[in-house]
Amino acid sequence: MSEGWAMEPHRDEPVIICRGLRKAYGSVVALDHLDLEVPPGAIGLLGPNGAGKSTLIKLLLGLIRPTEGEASVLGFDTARDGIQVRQRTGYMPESDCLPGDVTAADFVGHMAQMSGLPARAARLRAAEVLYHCGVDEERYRLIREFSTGMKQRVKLAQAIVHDPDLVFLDEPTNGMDPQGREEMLELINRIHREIGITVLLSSHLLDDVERVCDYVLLVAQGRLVQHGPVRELIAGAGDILVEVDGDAARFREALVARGATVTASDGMLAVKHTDDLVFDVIRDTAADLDVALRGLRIQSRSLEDVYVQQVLAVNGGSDGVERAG
Amino acid sequence: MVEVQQQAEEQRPAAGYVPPDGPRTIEVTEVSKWYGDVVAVSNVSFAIGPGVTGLLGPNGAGKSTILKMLAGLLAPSMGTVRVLGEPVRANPRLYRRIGLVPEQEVVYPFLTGREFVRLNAILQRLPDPDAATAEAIARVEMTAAADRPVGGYSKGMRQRIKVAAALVHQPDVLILDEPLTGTDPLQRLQLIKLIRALGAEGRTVIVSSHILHEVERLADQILVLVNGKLAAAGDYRAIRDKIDEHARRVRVRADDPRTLAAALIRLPALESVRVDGDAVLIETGDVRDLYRAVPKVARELGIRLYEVAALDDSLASVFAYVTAR
Amino acid sequence: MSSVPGEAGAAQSGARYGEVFDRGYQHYEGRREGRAHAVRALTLYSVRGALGIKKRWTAKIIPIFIYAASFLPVAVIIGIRAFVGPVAEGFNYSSLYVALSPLLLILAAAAAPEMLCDDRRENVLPLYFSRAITRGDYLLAKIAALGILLGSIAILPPLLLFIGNTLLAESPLGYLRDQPDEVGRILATGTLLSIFYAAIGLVIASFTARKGVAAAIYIGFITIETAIVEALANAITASWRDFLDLISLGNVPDRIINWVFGGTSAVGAPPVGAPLQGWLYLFVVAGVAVICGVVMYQRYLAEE
Repeated sequence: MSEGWAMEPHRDEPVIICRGLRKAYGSVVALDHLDLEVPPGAIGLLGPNGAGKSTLIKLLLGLIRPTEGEASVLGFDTARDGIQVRQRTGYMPESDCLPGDVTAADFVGHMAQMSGLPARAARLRAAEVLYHCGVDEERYRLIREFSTGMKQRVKLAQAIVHDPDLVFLDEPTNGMDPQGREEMLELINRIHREIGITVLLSSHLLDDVERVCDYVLLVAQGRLVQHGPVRELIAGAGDILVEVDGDAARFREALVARGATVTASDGMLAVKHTDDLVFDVIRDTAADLDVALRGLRIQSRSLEDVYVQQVLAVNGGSDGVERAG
Repeated sequence: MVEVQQQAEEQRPAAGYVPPDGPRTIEVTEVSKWYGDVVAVSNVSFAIGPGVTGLLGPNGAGKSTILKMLAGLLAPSMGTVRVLGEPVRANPRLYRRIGLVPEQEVVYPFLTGREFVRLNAILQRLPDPDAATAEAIARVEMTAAADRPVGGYSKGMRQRIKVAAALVHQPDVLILDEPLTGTDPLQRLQLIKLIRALGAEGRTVIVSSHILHEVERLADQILVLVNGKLAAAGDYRAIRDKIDEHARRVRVRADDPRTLAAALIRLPALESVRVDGDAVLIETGDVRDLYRAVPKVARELGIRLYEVAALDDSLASVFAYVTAR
Repeated sequence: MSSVPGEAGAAQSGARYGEVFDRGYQHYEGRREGRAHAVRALTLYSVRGALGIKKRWTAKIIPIFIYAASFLPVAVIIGIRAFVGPVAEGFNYSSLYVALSPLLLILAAAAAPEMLCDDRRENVLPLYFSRAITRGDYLLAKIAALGILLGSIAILPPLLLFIGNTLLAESPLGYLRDQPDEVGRILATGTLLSIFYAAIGLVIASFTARKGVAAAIYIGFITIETAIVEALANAITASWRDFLDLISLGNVPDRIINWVFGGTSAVGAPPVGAPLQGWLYLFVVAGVAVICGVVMYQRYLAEE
C-alpha cells in the first residue's frame, strides 16, 4: 500500500488519453475503439443515454477494466494504477448517493479521510470546501434535511475536498431549479477557471455545457463521433443576423442599396457575410435611418444543432425517434 | 397580449391570469392548499385554455401540488378548481377527460409497454381497449418497442409510454409533471415535438419543468410559481416588457470596446457600463434609446460593431427577476 | 499561506498596518496518507456508526444494552467475590459464554446490517469506490469493524473475569501458573464465536438493503433453522442423525464453548443422539466463514 504522494499538475499535457479503448459486456459493446485526447480545462461529455458515457467514466476512474485498449488519466494507466488515478480525481455521481443520517460536515470530512487526508486536516478542509460550495451553517445539519440543491453541493464538495486535479461531474445540475442551476454553474466555472481543477462535465443540458465548457466530446453508440473546442464547433460561417425596430422592409432596402445581400425570415434580416465591411454597412444604415438596432450577430450553430446532427448521422440518418430503442 | 388583473399598490401584477380570449378549459379560483402549518399554495388564481402552458417555479414552490389539484387527486384547502366547467375533485366523469403523466416512474417494470397502456385503457373503461392502446402507442411512435418490458426502456421511451398511457382515453386535458427530466437532447426534442403537437391539436396541455430553455420552446404561455404564489403569467416576452422598471442588459462587441464604452456612458439612461474582453456590457433603463444610439456613436468614432444582443431577453432572466426576493 | 507583511507600508513611519488575507479556495498542500489510513478511518467510522455515536439516541439503545448486559454481571460478581467471598461458584467461563451467546447474536444481527445495508440502500458505494481504495479495502474495513464490535463482547468480559479471578486468587501468580491456558481458551472461543456470528450476519446483510429486515431475518433464520434441524433429528433414526447437530446453527456456539472449556455446561449436549467430537464444530465455523467469503466476493468484488 502506498503511503503519501505529491501532486504535480502538468498544465499543457492532455489529462486523459484513450487508445483503442473497448469495453464489452458479453455481446453488448459499451465502448467501441475510443481514441481521444482531452486537454486540461472544462470538457463536456455529451451523448445519448446509453451511449457509453457512464462506462467511460467508470473506466477512467479505474473501476472497471477495458476489454481492449488502454486509457490513462493524469499520466496513470487506469487499468494498472487505478489507485493513483483515484487519488487525484474526484467524482460527483448523478444519482442520489448521500447517506441521510450524517451531517454534511461529518460526511465530507469522512470522505476526505478516505481520500488520504489526516483526520484533523480532513475536518478543516471539509468545512472550508463546504463553505466554498455554498453550504455554510447548514453543514451541521443532517443530510436528510437538505433540499436537492444542497445535496448537489454536498456531492460536489466531497468530490473536491481532497483537492484533486480532475473532477468528473455527472449531471451536476440534476433536479435543481433555475436559480440553483445558475449557482452550480458559477461554482463549476470557478472550479476550473480560478481554482484550476480540470472538469469533465457529463450532461444532457447542452446549454450548461455550452456555457461552462471549452472542449466537447460527443459519444454515440460507444464511439467518439465528434470532438473539439466549443468555439470551433459552434462557429458560424453563416450570415449576419440583424434585427431592427420599426420598418424592417425599409431597412432592408437601404442595405441592399448599399450593396449588401439580404434575405428576410421571421422578422430577422440575414445579411451575407461577404467580408467584415458588411458590419460597417449595417451600422451606418442604422445610424442614417435613426433606427434602433436591436440585434446583430453572426449566425452560429448551437451545441444542440451539432449534437443532433451528429447523433442522427450515427443513427443512420433516421429522424431520430427511438422506435426500437 | 397578456391580461393580468392588477392590484393597485403592487409593482408586480398579483392575482390571476386569464387567457386573452377563447375557451377556458381550466379555471383555478383563489386556491390555497396547506398541510397543517405548511402552506403549499397560497391564493392562486388563473385560467388557461387550449395549447401548451408551462408551469415554472423553484423547488417547493407548489407546482406538483397544483398539478395534483388539477388532476383531481388533491382537494384544495380553499378555493375551487374547475376543469371543463366542472369542479374536478371526486368527479370520475371528468377524470376521463384528463390525462396525467406523473414524475414518478412506471410502477410495474415487468409489464410490456402495450400491457401498461392497455391497463390504463381498461381502468378508464374504454369500449375497445386494444384499439385505443394501439392508437395511443402509435401516437407516441412506440409501436416497435411496445411489446418489450418497460423495465428495459430508455428514459425517453419510458416517458413516451407514460404519455401514451395518459393519452389512451383521448383526454382534452393533459398534465405533465417534469416530463423532460433525465432525457438526452434527442429524446427531449422528440418529446417537445410530441407535446407541441398535442397542444396544437386543441388539447389543453400543462407542463411543469425546471429547465427554462425547454419551456421556452414548449409553451406558448407560462405560469411562474414562487413560494406558493403566482408570481407571473403570460408570454414571457410580454412579461419582460412589463417589468420595465428593471434595467436591461445589453452586450455590444466591437473592435474598440473601451472607447465605445467611454462614449456610451454619456447616455442619460445608462446605469452601468463594463468592459469584458472585446465586449461592452451595458445596463440601461432605456433600451430603445440605447439601440438607436449605439450605431450612431460607433460610426462617429469609427468603431466596428460585431454584435448587439440583449442579455436578458430570455425566460431565465424573467424567472430570475420574478423569483428574486 | 498568504500573509506577507507589507514592506511598503512598514517603510513609511507612522503608516498604519492592514492586511487582507486570502479567503479564497486554497489548494491542499499537506500530508496525504495511503490506503491503510483510509481503511483505518473507515473501520473507525463504521464502529462509531454501529455504536450509535453521533446519531439519534435510538441508535444507541441496543449497543448500550448489550454492553451493559455483558460487562455488568461480570463486574458485579467479581465485586461480590471481592468483598463477600467465593460466591456463585457455578459462574465460570462456560456459563459466562453461554450467557454471552445470545447477546452476540443480537449484536451481530444489529451491527452487520449497520455495516453494509445503509451504504447499499443510500447508494453510497460509488462514492467509496471512487476513493483511492479497492473494493477489497472497503470490505476489509467493514469486516474489521464488525470483528472489533463482536470481539469486544466475546473477549473482553471473559478477560475481565479472568483478571478478576487472578487478582482474587490466594496467589495470583500461582493462579497464573496453574491455569496457563485460560487466556488462550478465552481468545479461541471469543474468536470462533465472533467469526461465526459475523459471517452469518454479513451474508444476510449483503442480500438486503434494509437493516430491520436483515436483523429480523438473521434472528428468524437461526431460530427456525435450528428448530427444523432438531425436529428432523427427532424424526430420523438413521445412524448419521447425530451429525445433523453440526448444522443446527443455533447450537453451534454452545458446542464450541463446551469443546474449549470442557463439557460442564447444562446445554452442552444435543437433545437427541450422542454428542459429537468438539473439534468437528471447527469445520462448521470454517464452512460458515468460507460461505461468507464467497458471498461477499460475489456481492461486492465481482461487479464489473
